[in-house]
Amino acid sequence: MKYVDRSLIRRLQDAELISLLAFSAEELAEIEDGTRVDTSQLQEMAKNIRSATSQPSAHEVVRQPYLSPEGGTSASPYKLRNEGTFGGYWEAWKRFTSHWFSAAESRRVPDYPFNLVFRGILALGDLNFQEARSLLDQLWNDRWILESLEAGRLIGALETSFNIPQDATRLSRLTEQVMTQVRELKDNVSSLAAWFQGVRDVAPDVAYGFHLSRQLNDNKANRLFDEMLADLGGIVLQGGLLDALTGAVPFIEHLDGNSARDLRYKFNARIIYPRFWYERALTVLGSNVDNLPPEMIQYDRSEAVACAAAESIDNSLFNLGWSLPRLED
Amino acid sequence: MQPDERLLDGVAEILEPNAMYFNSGKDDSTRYFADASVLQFLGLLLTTVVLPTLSNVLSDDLKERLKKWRAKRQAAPADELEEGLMQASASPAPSPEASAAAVAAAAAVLEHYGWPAAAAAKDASKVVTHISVTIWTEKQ
Repeated sequence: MKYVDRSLIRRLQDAELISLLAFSAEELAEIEDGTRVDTSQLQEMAKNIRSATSQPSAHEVVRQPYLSPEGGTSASPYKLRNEGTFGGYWEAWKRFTSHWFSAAESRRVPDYPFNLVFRGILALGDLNFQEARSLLDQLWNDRWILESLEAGRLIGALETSFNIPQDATRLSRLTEQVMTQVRELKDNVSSLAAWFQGVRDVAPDVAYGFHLSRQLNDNKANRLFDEMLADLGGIVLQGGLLDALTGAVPFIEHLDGNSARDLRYKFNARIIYPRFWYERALTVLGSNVDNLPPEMIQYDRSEAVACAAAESIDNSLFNLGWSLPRLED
Repeated sequence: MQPDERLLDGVAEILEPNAMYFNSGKDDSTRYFADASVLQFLGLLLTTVVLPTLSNVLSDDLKERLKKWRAKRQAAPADELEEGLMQASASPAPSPEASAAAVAAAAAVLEHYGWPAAAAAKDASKVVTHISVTIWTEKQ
């Protein structure tokens, strides 16, 4: 049996995501005003990422997005069915992803991906809650699930199916957990790549908090989670998704005309940049931003794109459609 | 940094971790990224609200003016607050009862602007302690 490591799965899926976003942005722009946009840079980038990761290594594990009860073992009861071919995985993921996109674009079958994932998890039958939740996290981490709002709905549905009360106590515990997670993430990451990945990791629980607080009519908690969701997406989208795809310097706008107090507020009160970035920003505030230290500007574009898409594929497409440079007639 | 600036900046720093709760109510223009100015506003408002409770030596005239601002949930102008801080610093440190009343008043303000009760109580307690320390300890 061949094995593919998890990071390779993610990179492949991110590459496909970039391709799909680029393609969709091109279509969007044509619909908007009949002009064509140049997406060649994005498509080239996607091609490069894919070709750099498309050579099967000796450690490939090939996974299909179809869950199989017979794939379960005592060591890994929620293992996905292995097909043994890299192409099988790739094709399956493209089909699966296309469901997300068709749902996001047309809304004709908005619950299809949700139902597909949820039925798949429940089909494993013998999982306890922790195992089922771990599987959901794995599906999220490996990009089978793309939007945090959908992942949040799945968490709620999963907890309901395991009779976990969806009440004020659960919301209170979740709020504390998410705020602690975000604080620790801000304080502990030491690279932008880890920041983008960590932000994406926490997004499903934030979205779940958003759904649960709305369900319970807790307006104060709903405000908190709504603001968090806006920030999580805004991390990439505020600077423009295109900026992330083309490797523009992230957060640089916060160095322009802001005081140390503004920077502190954004670090403590919002989810924009982590502590290490904030502390370095204080040292360069008011000086030439052309020579920023590498750790302030280097990041993984794939992680940034996945982070943007996690907030909303719709928003990503919309943002990309409006942000792409127009070709001169 | 002047004492009143230090006082307001300290209040802002206390409130920052929960600032995403901030909600100015009807016609709220702060949804999706309230900026740092909302905490400056809250700092001024909280000082307006707690000062007459913490200090028993404010002039009747000043107390009356601050109460009017408090009733309208508006912050007193900077010169009135400066006047209040000057007068308060001449009085003894507040009693535990006065501090507790100030915490309750501050928590009510924070709850009005979106803080859940538990978070409001915690932050109000920190804010009152900070204001007290700034007025009665640092000015010694």
